[in-house]
Amino acid sequence: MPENQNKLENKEVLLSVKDMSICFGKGKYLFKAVDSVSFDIYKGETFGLVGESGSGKTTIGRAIIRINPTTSGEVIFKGKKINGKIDKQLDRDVTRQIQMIFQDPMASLNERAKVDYIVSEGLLNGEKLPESERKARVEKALSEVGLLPEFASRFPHEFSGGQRQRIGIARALIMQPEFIIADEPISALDVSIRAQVLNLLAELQRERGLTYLFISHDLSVMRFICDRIAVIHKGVLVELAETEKLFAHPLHPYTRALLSAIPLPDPAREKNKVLEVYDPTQHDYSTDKPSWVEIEEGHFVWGNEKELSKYREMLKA
Amino acid sequence: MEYTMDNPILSVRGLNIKFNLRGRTLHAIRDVGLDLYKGESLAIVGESGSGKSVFVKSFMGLLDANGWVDSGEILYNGENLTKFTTEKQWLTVRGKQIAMVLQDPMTSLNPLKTIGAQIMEAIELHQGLHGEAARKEMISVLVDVGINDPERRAKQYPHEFSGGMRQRVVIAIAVACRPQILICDEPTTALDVTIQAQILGLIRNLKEKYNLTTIYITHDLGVVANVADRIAVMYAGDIVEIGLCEEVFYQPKHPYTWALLSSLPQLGIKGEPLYSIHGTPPNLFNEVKGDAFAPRNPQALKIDFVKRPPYFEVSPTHKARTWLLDPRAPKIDPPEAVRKLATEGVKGYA
Repeated sequence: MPENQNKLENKEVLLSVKDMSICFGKGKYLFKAVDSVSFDIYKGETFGLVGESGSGKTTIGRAIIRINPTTSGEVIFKGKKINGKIDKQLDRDVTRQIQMIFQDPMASLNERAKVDYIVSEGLLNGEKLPESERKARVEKALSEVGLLPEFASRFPHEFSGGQRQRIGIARALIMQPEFIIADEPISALDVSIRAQVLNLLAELQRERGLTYLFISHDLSVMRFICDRIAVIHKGVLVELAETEKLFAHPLHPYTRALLSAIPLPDPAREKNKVLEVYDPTQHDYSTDKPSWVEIEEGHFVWGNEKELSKYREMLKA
Repeated sequence: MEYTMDNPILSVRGLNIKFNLRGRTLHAIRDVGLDLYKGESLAIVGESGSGKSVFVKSFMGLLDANGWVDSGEILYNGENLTKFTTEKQWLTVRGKQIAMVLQDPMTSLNPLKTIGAQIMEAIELHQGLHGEAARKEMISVLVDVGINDPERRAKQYPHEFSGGMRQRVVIAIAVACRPQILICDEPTTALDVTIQAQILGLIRNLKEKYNLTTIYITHDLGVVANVADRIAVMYAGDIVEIGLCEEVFYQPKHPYTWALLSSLPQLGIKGEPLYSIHGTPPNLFNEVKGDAFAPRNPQALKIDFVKRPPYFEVSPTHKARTWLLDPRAPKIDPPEAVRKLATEGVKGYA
């Protein structure tokens, strides 16, 4: 892991989320999907965001890429605030530099468009490219994800799930982004295809120094590819640490419950495992208010004073 | 319940299932045999399209209209289910003897009926209870599947339940039929991990309580390790390896099982590419020659492309369809990740 170590030592913050909240609806129907979350993503790393369905992990990704408006807080990308009202030029830059890969390759590709158009659609929004240049870029993007150039004239239904996801990745790559938000990119794929897509993502990162925000509910995949992992529960970040640190010293009871629930492909372990159940009522936040604290270097946890002192004990032990 | 391997509750012999698709014939299940023992928990694993769902659906007469059992037998209690021709015959087995829990609890419930009514329907039909007796039974089933405040919840509609709770309701309907065999087709794929663990625990408890024999269909090897007594690995419409859970995980013999295990991220080393299976499964419209996995197996033997391997017995409980087990075959070791799984296991959390 020396490579990873390096990555984190010369930390350069690429994206910074500060006290971001996102609400849907208003008045009686107000729903706080994301509640003042803060985290930094460093250049060149793979940052994992894990949580259950409805925890707000996708909403955070969508807010960063400006699909969902934020209610409060800031999103800072390369030193510039990119949420809320921003000027046109910055908007254009952000749309180019941050790209997204979606979960379901069956649903995220336009069924009636050819691959050629699907992959190059993003380019049409920028300055006009000559047709030959556009074609060349599509070919390049396709070959980078391991697809043949002649696939450009086909429709999405002619491809398998794994190939479709590659088309989704090519569509993101053609914009030459620095930052890619991958929202459950392999959940909809078959086991044998997953490895191919994971390898492709890792290879592209090595070659181009890409930074990923990897959103998933599958901790075993995240352990394999993420440098750091943040755990989100009901819109609140509860813990953030380097991957192996999180697995070695999970502090927050929700993190512990989540880790204990991962099914391991090892019958000896799996048949004797002890499930930890998370009971949210165990927190008494009536007087002692919780906060987001860096409890040791690079390890953040959500808790009040009483819990934090307990967590410190756990770290010492 | 302990099970013994001399008492099959269901026996499949030489089963061939074909589908007619746009005038062409797809050979979905290719000469498959299986004994299911009373009280065991069998997991069938395989990629999508390997035929695992089609295989178990044939036990209940639930094949799509364009599919048929071409040859072979499915023996349940001495009766050959493949001889059934009418719905009426199937209804003596479907639900009553063999019940099924499907993947997506959203689509397997009727959105227009209260969940109480949907469970009652199964009880009235299969247990012959009516009125107050049926209602009492319904409430007790709801308690069994861990739904709190059953009196109130029974009057609610599916949309008022969360995904995990909905799956509990589906399970309640299945066990309310008092079946002998419970088939769970990807029962937790649509659920969160913490909920998944609860549902798997629930199915295990119900299995004990109602003396069920369970079949799980899944592609998640973590789930398999948790629930299975025995594992059958399916590839291209055939069971290529079957054995006790520990045998298949720790001493796998078929190259496809090796490939499946090696591509698990839990066995990968960070920073190194994960093992991935190249190519695609064979097209079952065409006749499969030899070992179906050979074209994707970089170490395939010459004979793999010519002749279909028979089953070779590894132990009385473990057999695999691969020429590697033939005494004349060259010795090929399983990949490193697979050997590591047997010696060190996978990393858990502290």
